[in-house]
Amino acid sequence: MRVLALYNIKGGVGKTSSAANLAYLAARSGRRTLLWDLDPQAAATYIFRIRAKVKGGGKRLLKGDREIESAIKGTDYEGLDLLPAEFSYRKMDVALGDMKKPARRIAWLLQTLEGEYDDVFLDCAPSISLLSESVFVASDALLVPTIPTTLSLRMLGRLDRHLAKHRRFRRVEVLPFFCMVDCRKKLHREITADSGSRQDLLATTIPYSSLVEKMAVRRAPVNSYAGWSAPAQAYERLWAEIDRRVPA
Amino acid sequence: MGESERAYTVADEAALARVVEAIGERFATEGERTSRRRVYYDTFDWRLWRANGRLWSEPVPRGVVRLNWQVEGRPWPAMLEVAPERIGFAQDLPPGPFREALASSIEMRRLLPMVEVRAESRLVRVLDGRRKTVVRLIAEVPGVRSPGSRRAYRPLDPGLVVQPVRGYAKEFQRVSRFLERELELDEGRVDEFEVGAPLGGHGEPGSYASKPSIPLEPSMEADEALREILRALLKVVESNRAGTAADIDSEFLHDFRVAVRRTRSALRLTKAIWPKPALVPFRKELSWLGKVTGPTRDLDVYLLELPRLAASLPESARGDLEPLRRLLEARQAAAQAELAAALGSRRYRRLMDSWRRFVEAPEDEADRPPAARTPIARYADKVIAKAHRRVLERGAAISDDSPPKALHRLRIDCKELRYAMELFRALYPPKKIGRLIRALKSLQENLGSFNDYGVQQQMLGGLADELGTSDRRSTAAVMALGRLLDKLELGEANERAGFAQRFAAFSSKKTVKRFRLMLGAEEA
Repeated sequence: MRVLALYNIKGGVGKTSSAANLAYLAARSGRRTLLWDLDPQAAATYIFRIRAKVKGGGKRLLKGDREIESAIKGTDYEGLDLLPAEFSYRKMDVALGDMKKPARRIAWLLQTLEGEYDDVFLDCAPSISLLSESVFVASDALLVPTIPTTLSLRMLGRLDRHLAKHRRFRRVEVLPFFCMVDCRKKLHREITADSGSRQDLLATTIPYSSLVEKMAVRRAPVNSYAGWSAPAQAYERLWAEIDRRVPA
Repeated sequence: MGESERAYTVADEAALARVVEAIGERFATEGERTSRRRVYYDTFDWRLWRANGRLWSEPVPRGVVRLNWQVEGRPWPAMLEVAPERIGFAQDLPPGPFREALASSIEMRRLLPMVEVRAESRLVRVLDGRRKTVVRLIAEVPGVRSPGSRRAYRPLDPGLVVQPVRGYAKEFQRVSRFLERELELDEGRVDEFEVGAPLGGHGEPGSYASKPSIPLEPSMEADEALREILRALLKVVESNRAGTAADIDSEFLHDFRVAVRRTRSALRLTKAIWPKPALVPFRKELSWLGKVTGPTRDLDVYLLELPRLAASLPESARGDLEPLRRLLEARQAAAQAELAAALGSRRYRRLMDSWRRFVEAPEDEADRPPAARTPIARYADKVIAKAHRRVLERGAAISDDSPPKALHRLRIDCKELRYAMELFRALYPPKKIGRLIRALKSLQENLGSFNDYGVQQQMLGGLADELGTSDRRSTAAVMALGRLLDKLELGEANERAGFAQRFAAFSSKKTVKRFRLMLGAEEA
């Protein structure tokens, strides 16, 4: 089971859109896929038209009182399931702090799904917290959508340093990619052109598009209703690249 | 995982349309037209079907197909995307657990397209208040035909499949209840594979068996029963002819040869019941058939064995055998071409025509030797007893110093006994004869391996001379061969050493007594 987390310390960088589209593409290629919405804003849950409600709340889910399996919902797409988020997830960090080995919690919960899914996508909330550390431990790769601005690149460096500090984060691979790239902006053009600075940077960039923003209106992945469009095509290339880079 | 899908059958298309309409009136739905295409695969001897499995491909975009496999109604967890031309031998599929599991089911056999399905369907999605799909229904009118044929699809009963969406069990139950209680639909599903398979050239699923079980009445007269057996063997020969000539996979030739050998054995074992001159031409011609098919089979076996032999070498030397494999493949292709020519020849056709006339002819009272009228049960006792006696005598004469030739002869005698027991199997209590066949098999395995090791050494030794040491690659190949030869020699010596014990078990008082009890008075 391959675990891929969409993560960035910053918000509004295209994490949820990327998670929804990549998970959709993984499932379409025949892989049994789960998307776990870990963000209390529950945007991914909303996009897939699922009620933002987990019986017993996030705390009980983390504690393992309730089987994670029974909270999973099927989406409208074959092979793609979703574990919904709800607003109480904002308190998950506090709950996690009271538990034993909090950094291993997510990995431990995912173990119970071994054999049932080929790919698990984690859509994380923007922040660095106990919960995100638990995500780092559980994941094979952190897919980091990054807007090509100076500040975003600075935050990427910050993440690198944080991950380098602890031995338990060594396993996770960091794969940033440029997202919401607006070719009308000079800065975006310059930064994406100068991609040689980071070896781990994925080659595919996702262009800015109002079609992606409309996902919240259509409540569906952009690849499902506008497969011909530039962002959808970019997501296909991105998924092919990730699939190659992170061995299943 | 909660609910699993349910299927219902409906009388005709009009009824199906009414059902879809009723669902639309009761639930919030959204529908779309789709179609479905499938090609089911199986081996010539229905290995997947026999294991209660179904393997099928569905087209997906980008010119590939998705291979699905279901065993006992449960889907194999992963599907495989392949180019359709790669569906054949297991080793041609992409590596991974799917291929390994499939390989252990089909082994060396090739997957053949057996049934083509085309269905016009209507996908109906039942929605909740968020317009989220909570149940899926597929209403469809399927048709089947033989793959690649241009004929029209034969329509099957229309069906309705209800698929649950995970986490929405209540909605699924509500829809199922509506279909069952209010619309009074019957649960059931048409088996596309079983209905479609007979439309192809391979008959009903399971209709081919390499070892046909031949029901015999103990009181049948001996020659009448033998003709029954010979007819069944002829059928095996004929059904494997086309696949052998086309070299679809190595198993066609194998089954073809086994059936010819059994036929020849049956004639040798039962000389006494046939009019004297009747068999002479057949014996000669069937022996020719054995000879022309031999070289190809030997090469098939080497090619099948090569990966296993290579695996016994250290990893670094495995690639060195590549020139050897190519040489064997070239030889096999040449031998196969000759074989195909023989099977297309007039000589072959004449043999089959006259042989068929012989096995289908009624008994000619005038020429029948007296033994022909013996009840088959008594006659079979006699034939098995005689073959058994010969094995015991020849085996007892073998000491640790006997030459390989002596073991070779005993191997042939054992084969003869085995064929006799299998031909007449239906006449004996299954448990008793099964146990004795297993006892014999254990001895045969020893003799067979001993022989194989010898033959392989001879063959590989000859190839080493031919490959020569003219360049580095062939030198490496010859070195790898040398290692293999050492291993084979060791294996041969081990089997030789194990012979005495295996034979002692087969000739033990207990086993001999079991034979006597089963065969009655004949085993004196």
